[in-house]
Amino acid sequence: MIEISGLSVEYESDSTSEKVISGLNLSLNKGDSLGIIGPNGCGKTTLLHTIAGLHENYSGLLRVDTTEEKIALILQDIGLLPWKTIWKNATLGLDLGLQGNRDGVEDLLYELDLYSYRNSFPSQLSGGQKRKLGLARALAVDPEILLMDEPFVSLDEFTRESLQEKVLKLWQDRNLTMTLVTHDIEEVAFLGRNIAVLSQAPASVKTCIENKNMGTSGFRRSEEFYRVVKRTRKELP
Amino acid sequence: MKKDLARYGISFTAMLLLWWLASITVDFVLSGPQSSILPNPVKAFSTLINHWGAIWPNFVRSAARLVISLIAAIFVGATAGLIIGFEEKISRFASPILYLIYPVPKIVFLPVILILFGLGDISRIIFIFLVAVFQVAISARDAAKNISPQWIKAVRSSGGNKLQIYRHVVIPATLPSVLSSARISIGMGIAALYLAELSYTNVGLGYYINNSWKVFAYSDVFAGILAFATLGLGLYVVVEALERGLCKWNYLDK
Ligand SMILES: Nc1ncnc2c1ncn2[C@@H]1O[C@H](COP(=O)(O)OP(=O)(O)O)[C@@H](O)[C@H]1O
Ligand SMILES: [Mg+2]
Repeated sequence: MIEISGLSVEYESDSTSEKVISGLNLSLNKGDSLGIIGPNGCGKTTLLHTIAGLHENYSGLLRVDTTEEKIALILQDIGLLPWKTIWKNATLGLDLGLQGNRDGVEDLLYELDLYSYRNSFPSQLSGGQKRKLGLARALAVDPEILLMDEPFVSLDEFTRESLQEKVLKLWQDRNLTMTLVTHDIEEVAFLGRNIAVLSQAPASVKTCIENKNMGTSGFRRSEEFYRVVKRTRKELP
Repeated sequence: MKKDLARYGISFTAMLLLWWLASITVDFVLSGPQSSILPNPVKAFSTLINHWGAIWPNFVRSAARLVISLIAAIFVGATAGLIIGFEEKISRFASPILYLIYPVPKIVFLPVILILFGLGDISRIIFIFLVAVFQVAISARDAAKNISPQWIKAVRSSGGNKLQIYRHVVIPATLPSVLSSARISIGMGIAALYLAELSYTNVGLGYYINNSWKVFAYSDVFAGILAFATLGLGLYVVVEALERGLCKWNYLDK
């Protein structure tokens, strides 16, 4: 579904150019999930934006087996539009002309406990609710690929875990291909069936860890979960 | 809302009292016909009501000149300002021009305008437009410069094109600033309107006030001033209502 090989991305300003990703290889099958972990500033956001088609200046191979419309990206700070109601934020993609159905969005808002807020504005939501709205907006356009940039950052432990469970369920129900970027070890271990550990900037994949039992019930409390966490921690740069 | 009304009532009463006091003082200090140069509020209001038939056509003409100019200034200023603020390349050339012309008192252009567009209302409208437009443009420009890149990414990553970025991000993000600059431009516009109505016309509140001065009809002068104030207040109320209606997200009780 996604195939990346020898990917390099640089940022060019007036005089200097800074290499942020260098010779990165990754691949991900349809319906699978990939958790990418790496230190702050290593290039995770840049990688996701490149996959989403927001960066045109890259070299190397980047193949995504779907149209750009079928890729949904949840931005690092969500990017909710303060002047739009919750409903209008959730249906932004549809209003911009992407495919999807509004009844589905209604169901999604019910599922994420946001329906009663549909006429409120983002500033009236809690941090967790904003994150859920970001998720609803991404899923409203029926994507095949869901890219998430540190989607649960700055949430309390309880909210974060319940949101992770929601994402897991949505992934299973909707047969999504999911990529999640984070610097939280337990998060990649919980949501990544494949875990890619990135090096310091310029980013490349340092190790790939398989996480076969991810998504099975009670996984978070299993021995296996802690083994994966431990293994991942050891690989961090 | 009730509280607002109460506060307006208190300020209004205080203003009337001060006015009255000033009027008594002037009456006391000056003597002869000049002593009535500052009539008390009751006299001014009763003149406004009694001479309403004569004032009304002037009020309508002034209101038309002002409203047309301001709508044009807000529309042109906001459009130019947000394009200049949002498009980096245009900004580099246009921003210096904007800041160069902004501080110049627009009255210096009046002779040029009169020669180019004649002595009629077109010239007056262009003059008021010029007085108001730069201020609106600069507010819109500054607001557009401060647009969060995240909002643009949100629209772009959902397949939005340039036009949609304007429609869903740039315009709503700058609207509060544009409307508050519209509010400021009402005051500037009325000052410009008064100047523009001093000559080459025999209708308009500016003309009415100026003419009343000439014939020593002081209470008519103040009736005209009250009519101006009413015009300004009416426009403020309209802009305020627009702000509340169009920028709901800024008026949430949290
Ligand atoms: N638009 C940009 N222009 C120039 N440099 C950038 C830009 N965005 C990010 N960078 C730089 O690229 C590096 C990686 O950034 P980012 O991809 O956001 O990392 P991460 O998401 O892993 O924290 C950082 O050093 C950052 O300063
Ligand atoms: Mg990042």
